[in-house]
Amino acid sequence: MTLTGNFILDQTLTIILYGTIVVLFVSVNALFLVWAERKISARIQLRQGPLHVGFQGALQTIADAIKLISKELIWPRESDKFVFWLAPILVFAPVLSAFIIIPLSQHFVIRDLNVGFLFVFSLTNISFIGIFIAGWSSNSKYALLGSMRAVAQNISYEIPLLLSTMGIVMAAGSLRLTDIVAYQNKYWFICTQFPAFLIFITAALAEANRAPFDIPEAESELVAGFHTEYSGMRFALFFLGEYTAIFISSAIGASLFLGGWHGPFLPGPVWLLLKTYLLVFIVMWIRWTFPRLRSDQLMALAWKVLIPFAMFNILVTAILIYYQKFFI
Amino acid sequence: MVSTLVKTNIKDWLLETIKPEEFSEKNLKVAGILFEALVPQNKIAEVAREYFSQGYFLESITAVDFSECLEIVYHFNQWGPAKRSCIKILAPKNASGAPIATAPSITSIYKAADWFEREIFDMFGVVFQGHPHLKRILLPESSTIHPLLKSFKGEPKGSDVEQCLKLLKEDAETFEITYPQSIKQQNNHYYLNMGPQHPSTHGVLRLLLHLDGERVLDAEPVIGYSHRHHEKMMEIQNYLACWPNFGRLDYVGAMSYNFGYALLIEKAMGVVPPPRVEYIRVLTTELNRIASHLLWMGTFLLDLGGFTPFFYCFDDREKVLDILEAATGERLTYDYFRFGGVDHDIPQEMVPAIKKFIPAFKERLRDYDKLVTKNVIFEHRTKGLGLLSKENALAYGVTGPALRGSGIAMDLRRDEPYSIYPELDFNIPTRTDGDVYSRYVVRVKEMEESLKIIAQIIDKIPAGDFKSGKLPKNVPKGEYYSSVESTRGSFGIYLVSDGTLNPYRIRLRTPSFSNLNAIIDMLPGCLISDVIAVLGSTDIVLPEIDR
Amino acid sequence: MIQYLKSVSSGLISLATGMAITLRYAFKKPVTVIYPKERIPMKRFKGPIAFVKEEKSQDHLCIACNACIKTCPSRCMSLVAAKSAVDGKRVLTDFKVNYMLCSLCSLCIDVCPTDALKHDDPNYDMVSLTQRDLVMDLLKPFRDAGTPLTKIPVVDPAAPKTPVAAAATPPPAPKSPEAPAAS
Repeated sequence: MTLTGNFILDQTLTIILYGTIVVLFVSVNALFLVWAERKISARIQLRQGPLHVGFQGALQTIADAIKLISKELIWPRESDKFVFWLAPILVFAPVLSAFIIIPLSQHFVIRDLNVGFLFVFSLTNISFIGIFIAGWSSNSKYALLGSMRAVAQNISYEIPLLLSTMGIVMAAGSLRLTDIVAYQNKYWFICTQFPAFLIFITAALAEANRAPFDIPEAESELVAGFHTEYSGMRFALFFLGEYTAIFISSAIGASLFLGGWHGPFLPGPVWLLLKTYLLVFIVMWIRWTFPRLRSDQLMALAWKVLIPFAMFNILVTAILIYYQKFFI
Repeated sequence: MVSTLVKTNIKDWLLETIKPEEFSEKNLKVAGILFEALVPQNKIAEVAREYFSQGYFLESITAVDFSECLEIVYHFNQWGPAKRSCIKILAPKNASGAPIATAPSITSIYKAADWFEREIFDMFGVVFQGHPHLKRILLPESSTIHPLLKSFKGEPKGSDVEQCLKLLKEDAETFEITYPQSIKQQNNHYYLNMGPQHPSTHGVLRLLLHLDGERVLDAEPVIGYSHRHHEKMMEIQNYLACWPNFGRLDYVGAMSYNFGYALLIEKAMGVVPPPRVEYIRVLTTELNRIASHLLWMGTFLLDLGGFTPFFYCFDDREKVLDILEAATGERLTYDYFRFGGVDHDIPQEMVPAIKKFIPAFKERLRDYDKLVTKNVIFEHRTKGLGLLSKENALAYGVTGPALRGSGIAMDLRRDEPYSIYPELDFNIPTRTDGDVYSRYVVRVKEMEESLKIIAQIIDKIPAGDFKSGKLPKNVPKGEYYSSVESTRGSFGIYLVSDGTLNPYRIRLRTPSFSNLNAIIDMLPGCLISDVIAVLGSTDIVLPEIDR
Repeated sequence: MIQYLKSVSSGLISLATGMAITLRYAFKKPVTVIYPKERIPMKRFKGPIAFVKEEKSQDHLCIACNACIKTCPSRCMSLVAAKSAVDGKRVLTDFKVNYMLCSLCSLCIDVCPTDALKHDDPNYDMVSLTQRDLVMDLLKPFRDAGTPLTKIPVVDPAAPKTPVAAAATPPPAPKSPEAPAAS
């Protein structure tokens, strides 16, 4: 009895500890990412970006966060109150749980699940339910249109996202992220699976609702899409969720394709972070370069381009692996 | 030999078949029209049908209030060399009061007449018989005034303002959308009011969309939110004091509107500006055209979700505005032109500044080409979308880059030459597809052509006065029409002068008004994302539409 | 199939070119002018309307002909003139411009027969907390300097029509700010 009691206590404490660390990291990271995004976009657009609060405007995001926290939370009169309240949490929470499986180094991972990144993808899908009910409960036409687009987009892009990783799974022979990263000690998967990498980045962008796939919130068409009616901290949660999702996608991408913690001189976690931020930079760079796709074109891209190419990639990988075994 | 059906000259046809009550030939150079004819009310539909069949488009319909009757004035013009003719009908005022006057509608012939007739109904109270949904267009639907009637006192006094506010409030409270006949409520169809507060309607435009999912079944633009009544404003002040109004119609490309007014009054007064003035005018107008197109390009790409080109365009636009500021002292609402001259001579450092700008901007245009025009996403978003056929362009009286995108090389700088444009070498870029992409390409090419014009004249600006000396005091009695190619299309001013210090009636034919009207036929079948693209591609400026 | 592959590859290339351009611009110098710290020198700027100071007499040139008032499209100018007590000529006693209404068209400068008006020096950040500050008294600098034209005694328009007597007696209690200066 005492043993299980201890075990439960132990587990609870671990969860709280990890939870606190993750939430802290997520908040600080999101602040940094927002600042980085502003700076990167500003440099691309011949601007300076935030300058005045802190060094190079580094504290600007904190000022904005304080502003958002202090703002009034508006309830639209016709909204479905409970669901309206639930939606931002539903968007944000699943993204947080994805941190469980990111391997910072060989042994430094919260839970090394054997279903690996499938777990993340299935969890992040819950946040789409959050987006959908956010648009639905707002009882606003723009928000509804945005959420409708979000659902369609999500369904289409799950497939190429998973298909693009299947080649790696086949090569590494495991779904466990630690195994996949450990497999890359000789060469990174980006060398052998470059088309898959491109498909992964594209699909991850779409999953994270980032431009050029930001059609659920397309600000020039749908005002703000699914979060049109949200204000204050609720809006900030959507924002936080989006940035964390980018970070998670990039971290998984770095683990899958860029060899995770592998790298000379520096310790593993630093390498992972560096690679993740490199991917985040690419994501931002893409955002500030291209115009937005239309929703039907988005579907066409998924079904007519990404999925066939991903399938083809799996086929080629399978053949190669088979012959490799045959020859050896 | 079988004689084909040769279309007779419209003038001969008028004289033979219609037998106008009054007919007078005019000079295109002086009066802006070839001839004017007063026809009986019941013949106007027949006249319009003949004009339509001969390929004339309806440039504008307007009315002039004379004490006992209203004169309704139709301007028809042709693509290609200008052949503007002016047809008038009389609408006697009703002694009993309501309705003030009646006239037959020509909406069944010209689609453009729809909005023009609604505007006349709004401003003069003329009821057009046969108009499908005659309602107010610029003023709120609850208002009871017809402001362009001479009996309406121009300056609203205190009580009138209160009355107006009260009406507006009532309008907001008892707001009920009256849909056009074509829009019918069906299951799972719904309506979306895009605007007046929307990031991409470029001002306060309301687009009433009838949607099935995201697909547009029907669209109706609702305008008038930034109506300031420039026409009445100009009636109650003298000719000189009208200048600022022309800077504020189309605030993005204000210089060509200045040009139009300068031409109009110079025509009427018989003043010929000194050559230096002509060069300065063309130079500043073309620079302003570039600035206007750049603003359009930036915001259009912003509508499509491309954030970065917006900043590049604005960077370039700032450079143009810096150059123009050195000459005019203003950056946006230019009041630069004067009768027979310009307000201020161009400074010495302007010429080197422009010379520095030309190669830099050419470099930028190449970058835009790579970044935007050849981008696969951009091509997919714009090609084959928002088609404007030649038939619709004719029926709606579309002008400017929108028309040139449909393959018709109509440009008043060449077709109705004014100033030094006949001496200049420039092309009129056209595309034949009539979609959003071709309108985009036409505008980008136009910037290159403007640059070419600037490069041609920058070294040739003659020395001399920047103002002509003595000007006649008044505009002689008569009617004048002047037309220039503004950034958005052909901008026309119709002036009725009674020889006094104030204009009797000034009618502003603004290109965006007709161009926006044509959007009704471009939108059905589009998705919401396309609505933004199509709307952006028409390049509208709302204050110019609402006046 | 070949068509499809071609379109996909050309699309990818166009995307890559776009990204190359944005990356190139990212290393260019930002064009932002951090406004209150840095300023672009004004080449020509239409400041608020002011009186020209004539070099010889250091005085204004206004003859109170009302041409500018008649022309002003925004009706933002107001002018008060009175009869001079010395020679019976029109003398300017008050000239105000409501800068809030001014549309900066410079038509008043154009029509002025004596070229008495000009745009004031560039003052880009003209800000005030009250509207009153933007109603400008054009005569104020001249009154402060005490130029001769502002010192001409005038017939008080409100006083009964006894010009000689009125000129002799000082004007009644000051109603407007210019009254003490005029006396």
